[in-house]
Amino acid sequence: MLEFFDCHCYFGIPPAPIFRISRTAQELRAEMEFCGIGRALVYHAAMHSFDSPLVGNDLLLEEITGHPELQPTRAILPTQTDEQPDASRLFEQMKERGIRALWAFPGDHHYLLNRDTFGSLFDALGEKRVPMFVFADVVQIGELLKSYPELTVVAACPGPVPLDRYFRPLVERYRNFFIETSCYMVAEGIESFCERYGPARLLFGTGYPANYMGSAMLRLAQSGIDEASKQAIASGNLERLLSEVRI
Amino acid sequence: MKNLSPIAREYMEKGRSAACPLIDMHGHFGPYGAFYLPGAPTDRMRKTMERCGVMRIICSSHSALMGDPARGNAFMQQVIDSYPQQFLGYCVINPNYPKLAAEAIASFPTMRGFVGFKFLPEYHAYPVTDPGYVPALEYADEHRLLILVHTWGGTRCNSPSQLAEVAARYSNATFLMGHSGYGEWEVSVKAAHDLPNVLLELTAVYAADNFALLSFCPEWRGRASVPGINGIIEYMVERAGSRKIVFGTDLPWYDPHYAAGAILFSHIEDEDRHNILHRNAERLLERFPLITPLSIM
Repeated sequence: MLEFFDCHCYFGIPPAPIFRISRTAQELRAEMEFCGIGRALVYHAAMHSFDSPLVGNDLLLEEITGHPELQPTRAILPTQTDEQPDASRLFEQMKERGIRALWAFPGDHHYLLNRDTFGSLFDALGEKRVPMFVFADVVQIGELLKSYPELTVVAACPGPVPLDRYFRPLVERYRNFFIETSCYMVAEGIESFCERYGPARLLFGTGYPANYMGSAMLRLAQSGIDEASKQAIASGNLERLLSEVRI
Repeated sequence: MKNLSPIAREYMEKGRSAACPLIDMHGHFGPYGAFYLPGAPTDRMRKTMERCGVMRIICSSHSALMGDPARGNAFMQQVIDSYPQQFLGYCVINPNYPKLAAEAIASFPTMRGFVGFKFLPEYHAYPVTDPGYVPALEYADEHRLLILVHTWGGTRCNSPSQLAEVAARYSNATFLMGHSGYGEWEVSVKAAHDLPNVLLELTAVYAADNFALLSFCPEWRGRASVPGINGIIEYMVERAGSRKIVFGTDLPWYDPHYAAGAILFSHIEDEDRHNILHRNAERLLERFPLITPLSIM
């Protein structure tokens, strides 16, 4: 059986109702155990949507205390509005708090994901190899990569419609661009992607509770690729990315 | 893994189950211009079905839906004739071309392996409640056929309430609510609960609909996103009952394992899983003279 390290899941109450959620870290762990997922890189619902990273970033750390299987992330905001520390302070805080990945939700938090907004901060993130998960459309992600070609960017939930024509050119052009699999549900998508690029650019993600954990799990576990590639996607690629962070 | 379902475990270990195969009630065939579908070539689609334990799939061809229905339906017939153990068909009706629709209905008795009709009202810009569909509806009602209707919440042409309105008038036809009226869950589930001849069909239901992330695609601009669907299977089972739900994938769009994974890892009983994944479909199909009968090993 594969060892799964979920790069995209969250707990907490979202603003719009979802039938079944995990309100607490404990409940998320229970769902992970039900499905057989050992570890997760998580965020709190309060970091996304219309609550605020100013609330959610700290709430996450508080609530995952005692759950070593849940690894923290941080949602970013622009620095010009004094809601986000500058690069050196950000890295200090990340190091103190064991955070090795960031999230950007530009659509919900209403900012532009570009050099005008983030200036040299994203250059610094690129140098430090900090992966940034981006919940934005593929066109915006392409523009971001154009401005910051060395930034490690993970496209969160590119789907559910098949978007390979949009993101494969980005895979070819930007060596630090990755796709997480929570919405990569096109039939033979993982197989044809790996045939062309190998497994290294895919990260296992469930998108829970937007999606069922079991969907991405079964999709990967029984995909038509070799076992080593499956395990790389299931956890190895994410472990590698996080191990390369230099803060 | 604490999921005690032996079916879930079997799928995770082997990718398929002889005792609980998949019967896909909502498939397509052929390439599709809007997206790259790596699984579209025939050999690849059959390989996917083999990998995922899909015993049978009922398809409408993309050509029939998006182009000339006569040519596309004829092409689907060739596929069925070539692979009768795997493929069955829906005859596509496009009411914008009443002469073609009439010819399709007239030729239906000679079509082999077709179990009913496919309606795509939204894409054809023709409300399912409008008169152009009446000849097909009357025929399906008379002959107790299946009608797979594409539905989606908040749409002008194929909302779940529109589907319910039509289904109530043609009680001898069986209506599969394609995509379960995505997003208007309460209305859809009530229709399936209240109307004996309506079933919920699950294609795409198991995926959050991030239309906000698809604003660069003109056809989805302005659609509201559904933030998440985790728990929807449990909701449908609780409110409509698992006997009113069928499995579908839009294959070659979506991988059957992605779809099945949602059902296998939802918090329902294995009897419900059997119903959804194959038993309800078997019950619907047993009345049709299939080229190759269904058989569960």
